[in-house]
Amino acid sequence: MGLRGDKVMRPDPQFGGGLSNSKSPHPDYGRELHGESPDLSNFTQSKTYRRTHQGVGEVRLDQISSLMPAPPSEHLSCRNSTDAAHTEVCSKLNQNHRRHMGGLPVGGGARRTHLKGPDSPGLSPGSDPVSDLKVSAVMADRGRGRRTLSFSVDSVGISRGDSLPPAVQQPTPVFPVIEQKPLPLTGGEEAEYLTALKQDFRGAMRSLPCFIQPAAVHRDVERYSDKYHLSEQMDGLTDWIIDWKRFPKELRVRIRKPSRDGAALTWLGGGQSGQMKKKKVGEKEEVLLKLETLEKKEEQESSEEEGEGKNKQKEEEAEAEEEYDEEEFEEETDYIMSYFDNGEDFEGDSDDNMDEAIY
Amino acid sequence: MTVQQTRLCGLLLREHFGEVVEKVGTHLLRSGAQNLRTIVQETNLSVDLVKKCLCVLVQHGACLFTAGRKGPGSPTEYRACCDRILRVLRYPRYIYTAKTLYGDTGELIIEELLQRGHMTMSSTVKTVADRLTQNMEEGHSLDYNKVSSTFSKLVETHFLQRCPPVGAAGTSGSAAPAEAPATPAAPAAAVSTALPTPESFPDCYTVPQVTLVGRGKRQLVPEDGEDQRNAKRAKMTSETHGDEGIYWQVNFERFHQHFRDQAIISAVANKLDQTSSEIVRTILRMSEVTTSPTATCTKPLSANEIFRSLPASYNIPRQILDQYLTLLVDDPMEFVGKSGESGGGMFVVNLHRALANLARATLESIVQERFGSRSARIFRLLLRKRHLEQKQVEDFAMIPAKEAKDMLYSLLSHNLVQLQ
Repeated sequence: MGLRGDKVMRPDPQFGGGLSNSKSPHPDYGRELHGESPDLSNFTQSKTYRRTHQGVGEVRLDQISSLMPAPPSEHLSCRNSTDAAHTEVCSKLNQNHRRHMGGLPVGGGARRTHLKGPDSPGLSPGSDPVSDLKVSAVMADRGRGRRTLSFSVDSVGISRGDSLPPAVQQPTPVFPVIEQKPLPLTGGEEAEYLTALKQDFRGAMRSLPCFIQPAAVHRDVERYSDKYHLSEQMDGLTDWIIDWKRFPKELRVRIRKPSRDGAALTWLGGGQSGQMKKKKVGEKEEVLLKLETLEKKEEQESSEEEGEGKNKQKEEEAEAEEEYDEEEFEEETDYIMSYFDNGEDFEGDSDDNMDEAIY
Repeated sequence: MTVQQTRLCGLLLREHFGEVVEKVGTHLLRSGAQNLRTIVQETNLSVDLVKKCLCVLVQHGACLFTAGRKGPGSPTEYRACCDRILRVLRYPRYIYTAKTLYGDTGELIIEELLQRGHMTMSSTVKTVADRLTQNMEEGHSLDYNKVSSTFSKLVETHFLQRCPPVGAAGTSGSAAPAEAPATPAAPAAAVSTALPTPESFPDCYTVPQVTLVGRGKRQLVPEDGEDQRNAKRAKMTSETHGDEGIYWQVNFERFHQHFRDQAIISAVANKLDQTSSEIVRTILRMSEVTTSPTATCTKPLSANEIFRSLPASYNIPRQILDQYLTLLVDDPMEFVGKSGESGGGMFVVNLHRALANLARATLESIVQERFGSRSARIFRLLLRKRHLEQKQVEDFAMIPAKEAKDMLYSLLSHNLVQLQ
């Protein structure tokens, strides 16, 4: 694997940096970088390449691309090409090197950490993880033994005495520094009252029937208290009496009382007939009264669906309202719904200390 | 309608109506007019849930439905209104304004109507009376008449209006207050019948004759199952009060007019003094009914009329009033203009110009707070002179060249200034 032939450029010791504690990911990797010279056999025919990239780093393009998880397509395509695209790509790589050496953010902090140690100053998260991986693949293990740079200093343009921009230790601030501080918010009673009104309004909206909640989330295990909690929810839904004359006919829906097994409340379409009609033994008269009033309201309806299912639906509607009243009878409980306590939050009093009498 | 507007509407819908309505609403906003089937398909919700959401949206005026475009047989199409949903942001202001004008009763009436969208007068009165009774001491309750009278006053001053009948769906039929100046509020007014004319809706502000006798009911804490069941049964029985089918909604435009007037009055008070603001308030109050909402300036009023209509607490002599009026006319903000000499001088309030000046003052203060007073000076200069060259800016603003350049470039970088 090790091929000879071309010179190995050493990094300038000035740019040592804290890269000495990096580990190479692959046993062959370090050897290839430092022991052998890079394989430029693919490019031997490109004299132009060598001339233009005279001082350019020993970037084993094929090597790096095989190590990277997602090689950039331009590299694979330009392996044997000598055209401007390749030049461009290589110069891009050099730029990354330069940025990296200069301590400017390069990219892909997350990816980098597995190649370098976690405490490698001078590197900061940047934007380009792929190029960063390339760079770090080249730069890893740099300090072992020799402090060499893989590119020549002159070509990069940094002369010896130049001061580099300071190493960036943390991400750039999110918001620019403001010269003039903004004015304080106009407070006062009015503003507070308006805020209170807004919050009250939103809270009130939640309890109205207009606030539609999707079907209740089923917990992992069906609980005994579910059948009590569900009846509470029905309160708001039956409150909203819509005047259907103001709405297009296709939006009419019917309420369906909840099924006994505690499933979430569903709305039936207009055409479905009731499946859960129960005969009510007392209170037939009330039902009839209600049917009459409902009939008056629905006189103007002319759609076929409603014509057919009208009677059934009226019974259902009356039943739905009836059901709710009767539910508390039928649940056979002496306790008021809101007082129901699961017992889940209950922590038993410790009966250990019976020294003090409880009055 | 921009992406951000849609997003804001979605968040508002979520806060007030839940996530399901948000989904349907944002879908409608993005896609324009759609019929029910398409909505169900594209939102992947159940048909019933979509129907319920559409009912909620129509109830609150956020969505309009029209017959299909392809002819009478095509399904109804629904369209959401972004502006109407954004009005939700102003609800606290509307409620607060009603409180300042009509007290707690007015505040609760407006709040109930905003929460429910449309309501009949009788149900509103009952609910508000119950709510007020809750807050009163034990044993006291509020009579329905008091609430009804406040309701009538609100209708009289056009803060509430009737919902247009469903036949006029698709057009905003709540206009035309000019054709039906508010009738007296007494319930002895003629029983109104809704005329289904699409364009004008003459009964927009007519209070129906409602038989509403009773007092607010205090909500009992349920002692045991008995009381609860009885309370529920009471709700189920339907009582008719003579105003079935007549629904009322809040008239947002009137509130906006009110805000505009308040802005002008408070600007005058800040710039000049309290008495001049009272004079301007008098002029505006007198022109409430005669000025259309989009007028450039109010109808001319003579100084004599203004003098007669000043509030009793401000008994200033006639000459002082004339001096104040002259001062207002000469003010560079141009709130009041003089349009003639008859009757001691005819005066108008220049609405559009006043609002434009207020907007300009706001912008100038923003630049001043952000960039400093010298940049504000340059900005004001550019506002007045429109186009200036760099050299002219330095000369007019009397700022050294280097600093002027810096300031101009900082304004440019914030897109407040443009190069040409």
